[in-house]
Parts: sequence; C-alpha cells; structure tokens
Amino acid sequence: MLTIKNLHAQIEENEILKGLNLEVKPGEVHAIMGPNGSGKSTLAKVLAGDASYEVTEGSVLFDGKDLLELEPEERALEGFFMAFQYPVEIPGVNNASFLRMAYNAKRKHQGKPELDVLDFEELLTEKINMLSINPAFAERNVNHGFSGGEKKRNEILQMAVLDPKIAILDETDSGLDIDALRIVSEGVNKLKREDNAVILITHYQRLLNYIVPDVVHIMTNGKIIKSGDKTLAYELEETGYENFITEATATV
Amino acid sequence: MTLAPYREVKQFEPSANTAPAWLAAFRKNAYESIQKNGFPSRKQEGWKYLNLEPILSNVFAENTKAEELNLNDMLLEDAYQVVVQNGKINTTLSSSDLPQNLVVCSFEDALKNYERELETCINLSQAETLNSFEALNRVHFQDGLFCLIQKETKLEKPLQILIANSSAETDAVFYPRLYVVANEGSKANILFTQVGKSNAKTLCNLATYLFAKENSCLELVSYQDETEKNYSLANNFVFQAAGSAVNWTTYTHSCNVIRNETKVAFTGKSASTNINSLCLLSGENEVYNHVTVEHRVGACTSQQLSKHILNGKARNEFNSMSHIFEGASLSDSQQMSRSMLLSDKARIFSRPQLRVYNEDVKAAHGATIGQVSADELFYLQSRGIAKDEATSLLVYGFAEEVVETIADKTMRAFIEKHVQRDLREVVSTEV
Repeated sequence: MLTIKNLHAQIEENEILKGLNLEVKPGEVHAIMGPNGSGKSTLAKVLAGDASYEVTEGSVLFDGKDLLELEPEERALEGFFMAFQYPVEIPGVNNASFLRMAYNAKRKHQGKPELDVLDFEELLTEKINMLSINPAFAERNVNHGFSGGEKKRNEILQMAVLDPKIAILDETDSGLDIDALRIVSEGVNKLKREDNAVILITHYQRLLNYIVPDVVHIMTNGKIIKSGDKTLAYELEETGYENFITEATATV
Repeated sequence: MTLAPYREVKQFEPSANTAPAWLAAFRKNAYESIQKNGFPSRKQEGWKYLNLEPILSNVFAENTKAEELNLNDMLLEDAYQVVVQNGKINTTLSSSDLPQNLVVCSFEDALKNYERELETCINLSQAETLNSFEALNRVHFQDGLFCLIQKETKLEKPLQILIANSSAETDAVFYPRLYVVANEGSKANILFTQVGKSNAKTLCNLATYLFAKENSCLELVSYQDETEKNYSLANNFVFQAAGSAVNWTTYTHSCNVIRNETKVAFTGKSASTNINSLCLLSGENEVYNHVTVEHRVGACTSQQLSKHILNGKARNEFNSMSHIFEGASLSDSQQMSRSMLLSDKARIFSRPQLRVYNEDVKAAHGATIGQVSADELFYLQSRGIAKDEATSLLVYGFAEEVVETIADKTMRAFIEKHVQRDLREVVSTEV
C-alpha cells in the first residue's frame, strides 16, 4: 500500500530524512518510535506534502501512485491522512462546514454525489457518537480554543469522516490524559479494517497497550535502524534508545 | 447641459427656479463654498491617495438616457423597495404597498406635504459641508428621496433603497440625495444597494443624511457593487440624538473608484453607533473610506470594525477619526482596522486616529495587516480541500466577523450570499 524507498528530505539546507525505507501493507498497524529530533514528524509532514520540506532523493509509492508528485489535497483525496502533532486553529471556520467540505471534496473525487447539509449531519452525528465526542465540537470553529486533548480528538473525528486508506498519527497520544488516550485509541481501533493501515508515531510504549502494532520501527537520525514485532517496544521501554543506536552504529 | 470637463462644473451657478427661498439659499451657499474652496487636491490629508484627475478631466453629461435595469439579483426578498434611478425615484420599480407610518417620496412631493420636515433636515445639514463634491451635490441635485419613519414605528420588513445609475451611451454624472428621518422611538432596518450598469463612464455623487431622533434604532447595511466604468463619491452624515442606536455595515466589492466619507455626530447623550465595513477588492479597484465620529456630547459609544481583503493591484484606504469634544465625559470609542493582502501588489493605507479633548473617557484604536496563514492553508489542503477553495474558506473566516455584526437576518443573508459569491472571484483572480 505504501512503499518508501531511500527517502531524503531537507528543510532550509538541513537534511532531516537520510535514506528512509518503509513498507506498509493493508491491514497493518506500524509504530515508529525514536528519540526527539530523529525525523519522525518530518516523515509525516513530507508524506502529507508540507511545502516547507524539500525531497532530494528517493521515492514514495502509495497504491501504485507517485505520492510525491501530488499536491497535499490530492494526497488526501487519494486516501492519505495525517493527524497533526499540533492541529492548527482556524478561527472563523466552522468545524461541521469544514468537515462537510472535505468530505464532499472526496465524494466528488470518487465520482459520487455530494451530501447535503442534513445528510452530512446524520453521518457526522454517527461518527461523533462512535468516538464518544462532545456534539458541541461540530458547531465550534476548527480547533479554535480547543484544549490539547480536544484538538487530538478532533483529528480522529476528521479521520473517521474522511475514512482514509492510510493514516499517519503524529504523536496523537502526547498531551493526552489517560481517559483521553483511551478514547482516542478506541476510536482508532474502531476505524481499523483489513483494507486500511495506520502508522503511529509515538514516544511512549503506553499507546501501544491500547493500539497493538504489527510492526515496531526504531527511527534515529533520519532512518529506520531496527524493525520488529510489538515486543521491540517493551524492550525499548526498558533499555532506552541508547543501546539500539550503539548497536546500529556497530553494524554499519 | 453644457459639455465641459468636470472641473468646469463648479462654475455652474444654481439655476433660478421656483423652489422655496430656503432651498435656493441652501444651494447658493453651497455654490459659494465651492467658489471659495475649489476641488480637493492630493495636498490635503484626506485626499492624498486618490487621483482625481481622471474624474476632473472627463466630460460627464447631466441628463442621460438610462439603460434598462435588471435588478433581480440585487433585490432583497420580503422587503419594501424604492429605486432611485439616475437621481430620481422610479415609481414603476418601487413598491406601492408601503405601510402608512412610513413615508417614502420624492423631494417634489416632500415639498408639498412635508415641507417643514424637509426644511429642518436641510437646515441641519447646512453647517456640515464635508467637501466640495458634497457641496456640488447641493448645487446640482434635481430631485431625491425623502424617507420619514413616524414616531414609535417599528418597521416589520426591511426597506431596500436601490441607488441605480446607468447611462446607455454618454458619460454621465448623477447627484442622488437621500434624507432619512427616524423619528422618536422608531425602529427600522434599511439596505442601501448601490449598483451601476453602464456602457459609458458614470460618476455617482451621492449624499445621504440620516437623522436618528431620540431613542430610535436604525440598522443600516450598504452594498456597493458597480461596474469597472463607475466612479462613486459618497458623502454620508448621521445625526444621532439622545438614546439613539445606529448600526451601519458597508460591504464594498468592485468599482473603478469609490470614496466614502461618513460623519457621525452625537448630539444627545447615551447614543451608540457601530460603523463597520468590509472591502473585498481585486484587479485595479480603488476604495477610499473615511470615517469621522464626533462625540460632541458625553456618554456615547462608538465602535468601528473595518476589514479589507485585497488581491491584484487593489488599493484601499481606511482613514478614521474619532473626535471626543471637551466636556464629552464617559465617551467610549473603539476603532479597529484589519487587512489581509492576497497579493504583493495590493496596497492598504490604514489610519485609525483619535482626537481626545476630555479626560474620563475610553478610547482605543488599532490596525493589523497580514496574509493568509501558510499553516492554516496546509491544514485545510491536507484534508482534501483544493488550494483556491481553502483560501476562500480562510478569507471568509476573516470576513465573517463583519458580516455577523448585521443583526437583521434577511439583510445578513443577502450580504453573506454576495460575499461568498464575490470571494471566489477575488481569490482566484490572477494578478
């Protein structure tokens, strides 16, 4: 579904991704863990099409298409979704209208008829209930004045409405209290199917108690240096990144 | 009429007519003030950004054949309508079912039935000349609109006053003149719609006088959208008596050149005014907005919120003065100007000012200038919303604050519809 080969990316001449490889298949949950500054968030933003980053080498194939050739909105329409680490506040734009606009853009892209306000409201209410979100969310402006936890939940709500093929969640667990973490994780689990995939970027093994990954990657200095099953996360929690980094350097 | 460059028009004396003596004197005084002051020039602070040369050197006829009007798109549903076409009321296009306590008529009729009321209005406006263009209107207006909302009347439906100027062939000038009197305790919602449709260049020299009597409440909305061949010089006066409340929102979209000068004078205590404006401009549109609020007496509140969204090579000026007179204790005055530039070549001149001659008042002013936020744009795009549409959404989010100040639902929906429609055009315009 997603094949990243030798991906190099930089921001203002500063290389962050230094030859990253990753393969994600339908139905899989991947977790990417790594110390601060290892390039995890950069990976998410580059995949989403953030224009502040320049890809200098490598390729990303998403469902057979060259992802890097697409505009950010085209990536979304093709089924790519990133949950932002810091969701942007947009005062003056109503959450429900924004979601309907995004949803209809996708329907249009798929050649399906757009939903009118009432039909969309029904769909939105269903998603809101499924994720145990406060219905008042819909009528507020996008993330404006939301608490950290509310913003993260709003990201998951967007994911639920847009129903992407692949979602990359950039530290969606950070800044959440235990209850919020549980709600967000349950939401992600409910959206999980055999034909879609999730990449979790996280610092903490804690999230992985709620969302069980098929593959865990350790990322440092712009590359994935080790991959394994979920036990790798427990190992990491006990020993820290240091050992893995030393080990990886030794094998090079 | 004589055909000569517009700068010559100041030589034309008011023609001798059968009007009452007070009206003849009013015109003559105006004529003398033009002789004394001449036309404004760029050396004057209030006129420094506007090039008057294309207006002054052009030849405009005073009487011209009007074009057929199609106002369908401009009509407010479920409202009383009055059409002032080329300076005169067009009765065929206006509603005939006005309620009894609302008088809307031509000056000619007002002179017959409401001479005393009209004279009072004209005498009150006598001392308030804003500039020579406004004085020219005094000399040259042929007819106008007189609107009287009777005491304690609460108008059920909004009144829409359409100011439509058109000329089929010749370049032409129009002098619409409007007097609106909201008597004691009355309440009304009025939508002014200024539209122009012409094959030729037109100049609309508009003068509007509003008298909000004690405890009256007026919600006014102006919509200005004219063709690229139009010039519009509008001068507005608002006289507010004690306890009156005026909420005036102006939405300006496209026109060759528009200059609006608005003066609000508080003449009685505990009155309040909100003067809000939204400009949505592209191409080579030029809009110059000047507002003066005079707190002549104390305990009055004035608020101004002005938003400007500019693309292309549009030029926009916001020049506002809040003047708190000596002795006007407990005055409260707020001015805020916010601008969003969508292109490198658009220009905004923003100047909120205060003149405070009394202690014991609240006065604040501010101005911001920015662009569409790249982070917000990326966020929307990452959800599948195309760049132009995402920009429209963000720009509307910026503009909405002004639209929301319109309390009357029908008028708000009208403006909202036009802003939404115009927005797409302005945002997608390539420079």
